[in-house]
Amino acid sequence: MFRKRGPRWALILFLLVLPWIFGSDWANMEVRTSYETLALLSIVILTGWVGQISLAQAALMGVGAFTAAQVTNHLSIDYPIHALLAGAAAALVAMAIGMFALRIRGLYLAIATLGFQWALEASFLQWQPFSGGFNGIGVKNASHLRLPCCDFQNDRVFYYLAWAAAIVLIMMAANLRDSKTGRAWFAIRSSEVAAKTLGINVTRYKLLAFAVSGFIIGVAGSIKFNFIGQATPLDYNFQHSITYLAIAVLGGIGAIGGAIIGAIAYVFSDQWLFAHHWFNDFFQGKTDILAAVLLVFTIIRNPAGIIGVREDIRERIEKRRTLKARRASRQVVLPVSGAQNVEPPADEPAAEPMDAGAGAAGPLEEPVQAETVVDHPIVAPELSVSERLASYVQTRGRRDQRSDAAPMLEVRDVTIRFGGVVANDGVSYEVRPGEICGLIGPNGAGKTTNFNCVNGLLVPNSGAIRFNGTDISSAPVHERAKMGMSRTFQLMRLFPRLTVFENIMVGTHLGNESGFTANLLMMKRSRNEDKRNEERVHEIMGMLGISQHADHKVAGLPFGVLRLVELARALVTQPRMLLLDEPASGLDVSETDAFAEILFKVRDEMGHTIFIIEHDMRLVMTICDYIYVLEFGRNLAEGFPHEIQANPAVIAAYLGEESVA
Amino acid sequence: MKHYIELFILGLPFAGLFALLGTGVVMIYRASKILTLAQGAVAMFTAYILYQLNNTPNGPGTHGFGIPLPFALPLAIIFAGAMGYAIERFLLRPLRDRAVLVSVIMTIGILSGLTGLAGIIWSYDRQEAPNLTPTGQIRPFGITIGYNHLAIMGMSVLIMLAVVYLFKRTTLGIAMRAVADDRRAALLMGIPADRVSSLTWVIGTILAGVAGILLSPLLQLQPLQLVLISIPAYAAVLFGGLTNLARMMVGAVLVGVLFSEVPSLPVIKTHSFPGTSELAIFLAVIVFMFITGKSTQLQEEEI
Repeated sequence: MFRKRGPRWALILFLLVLPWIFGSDWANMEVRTSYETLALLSIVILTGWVGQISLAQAALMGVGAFTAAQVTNHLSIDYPIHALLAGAAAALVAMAIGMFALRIRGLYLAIATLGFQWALEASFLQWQPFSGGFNGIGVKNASHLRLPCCDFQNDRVFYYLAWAAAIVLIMMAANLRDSKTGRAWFAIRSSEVAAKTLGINVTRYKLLAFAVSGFIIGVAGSIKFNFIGQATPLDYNFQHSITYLAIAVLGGIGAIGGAIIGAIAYVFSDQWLFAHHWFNDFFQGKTDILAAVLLVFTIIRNPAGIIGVREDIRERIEKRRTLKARRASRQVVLPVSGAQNVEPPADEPAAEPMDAGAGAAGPLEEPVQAETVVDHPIVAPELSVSERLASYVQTRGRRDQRSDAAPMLEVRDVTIRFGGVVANDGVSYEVRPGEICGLIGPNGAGKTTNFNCVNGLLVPNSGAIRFNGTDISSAPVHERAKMGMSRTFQLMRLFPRLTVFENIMVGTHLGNESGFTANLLMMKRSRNEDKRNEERVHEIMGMLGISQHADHKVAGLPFGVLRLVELARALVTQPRMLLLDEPASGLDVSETDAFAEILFKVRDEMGHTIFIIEHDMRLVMTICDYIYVLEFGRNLAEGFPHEIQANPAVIAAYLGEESVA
Repeated sequence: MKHYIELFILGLPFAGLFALLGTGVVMIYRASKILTLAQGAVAMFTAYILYQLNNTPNGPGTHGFGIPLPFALPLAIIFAGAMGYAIERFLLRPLRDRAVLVSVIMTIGILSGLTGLAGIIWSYDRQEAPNLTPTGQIRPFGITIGYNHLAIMGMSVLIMLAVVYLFKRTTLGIAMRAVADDRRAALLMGIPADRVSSLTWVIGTILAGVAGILLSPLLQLQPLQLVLISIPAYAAVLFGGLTNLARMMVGAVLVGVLFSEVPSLPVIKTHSFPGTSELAIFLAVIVFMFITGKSTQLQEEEI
């Protein structure tokens, strides 16, 4: 998404000279490509970027075309103004589909939009007053085709007008893709849950996507109407919706270039190939079947479409390179704290409560250095991570006092039932600011359920959750994220098709003040925000030691790195409190130690309060200041690590009754 | 009132056919987690195959082998099954590990391809479809019911019962459900999962083919029209939440009745607004889905 801008100036230049290269025989195709590109672009945005499948695009285009026709004939409002109205009308209808998409997902949405197309096509698109019935609407008087400046009848003028609209919309789409809005969309495509936890208002961005997509295809409809001089319902039927989707996939559904190439291929085969060649006799002018056959091959052979071939080659090269690099040095990069960094920043009282030993920087005597490559701990020239960790813990000493600050998170009597199963039964606890607080318990104790409740993915049947004194029991997930709650997942929810950098960049959503208009026009404000956030992402990547993976796609990276990426993504939202759900599962001992060290850094240097679910007792006992234990959905015990370790009830819960007796 | 009862009964054969199509969709979804949108196209294509086999070369239209119905019908049904096998084996099996929507788009491609192919072979003009059912009607209580409607209803119910029996009572049915629930576990239990999903597709497309053959005499043969008429079946499938056969069948009846009743409601008749049955079916499904929609908080399987 942050890749270099495509060859847009080359494209514009090419379009400028195009009508002068080919004769007027081609004018038809040249104009038609403009609105077919827009139609496909609307699918690229909706399906390719946001992951919402719509089989009602042709109907939306029809709404645009008929609105343009009505506005022209009755109000004498001409192109390009009526294109805006047509776009707005289609955007409204598209938002209605978007409303279903909030409740109806994936496969269901595919059927529902198919039904929408089918119902709209049979009703409004056949309704005499709106669409002129079966024969459609023609242009009532030809006068509207003339603008003061130019004569629309002239193909060349129309060509420029049509492509001007197309280029503006394409550029705006590219702007959105490269901004906060686009990142939110990509996030929603991969995982709505992860998007919400990063503070993205999924409802808003989904509806926005439908509106944008509807607007674009509505404008396409109005251009088509102007160009043909007529709009008939048959042009916007079910078959067209399907053909558009097929061709969008064919061209490459993830990229704007895919829409352009798809449109060129579509128009070319539809109008030139079939008009001039032998297989017109066989195909009888039907592009659909050719498109269908090609689609089938595309899906099986090359899912990224025609445009994806380029990406494919690049990826293959990169894969070979990383393989070579990995073979060259089978090393894990672990961050190493600078000595002075362990001290809590003076202006950060949140980190204060752990005064017991947080200031001791004694054992970390190596030179200040951003990161050091540590192979196997034994080989490392400096102190190993484990040794550093041990000495750090030792100097900090044993804690037996919690801060008396007001709790940051307060959970009171939370009960959650799934049908007959009581997953949480009156769970209560509190997390104080500046703590690393642990929530442990045997499998099935209801820890993750409780986490989901704190984070807003579940609403408790009863009980209250307060965050910094405000009751958030019923606040939506993204609101809680905004208040400063960020989390990671036991089964990581990264965005597999984005790079490490892009993944973390999505986390800057909350810290990005730019609005939709700024994104759309790529205004300075939007760019500045992005630049600022990019710096922050790089900083955090550096701190966690994952900078060298910045441009790698997440899919295929080692597990330990992925855990850090997810942590970085949570950190970059600048949370007041981090919720970590079993962050060490799947990590080996040295990775876990490195992770523990990072968590100390996160708390002490960055001042985040941490609330952690973990099964790795060594980790829990090392890092936690205070621990709550759940069993069978109920509070079993709470206390400082040494107390928990000695608590017979806890031991019984973990090892079974007999072993205690 | 009598008019509405007649319309109600007129809707039932459609309900039966929607249920047949829907059963295929549900079975295929349950056994292979693939939502096929090509069911209507398979129905249409099979109807055309029967037409092609049965129509006399010199008769209406220009195609036909003139094979008598008793031979042509099994051939057409075998063809439908073969189509299902080929679709599963060559087009969808390679996509098994890909995102769900990819296979949906593939079935859309199949739909588009079959429609286009039918258009090329038999043209987009309307053709008279061979009629399998007796003509004539009975008039109990002064209500007119055509024999063909009765026959379609009867056949749909019989086929449905057979499918339910297959699914619930036979080893094959249990194997299908096992494969649907957990493919890998089923494989470990020695169930040939690939063969089971092929078989499900064969049965599913045969159901579609039968529906197409029964449906085409009620309308006329036309590539797009037969595909469009199958869309209400998907409304029924949504009523069943993609997996529940019983609810899908209830949905099919509701959809069938809406289909035939709505356009002649007095309000709508006076305003002559087109496509009201389509709108009514669509709205019914949407409202239903909004009311029963599963908790949206945790839509992704596990957190």
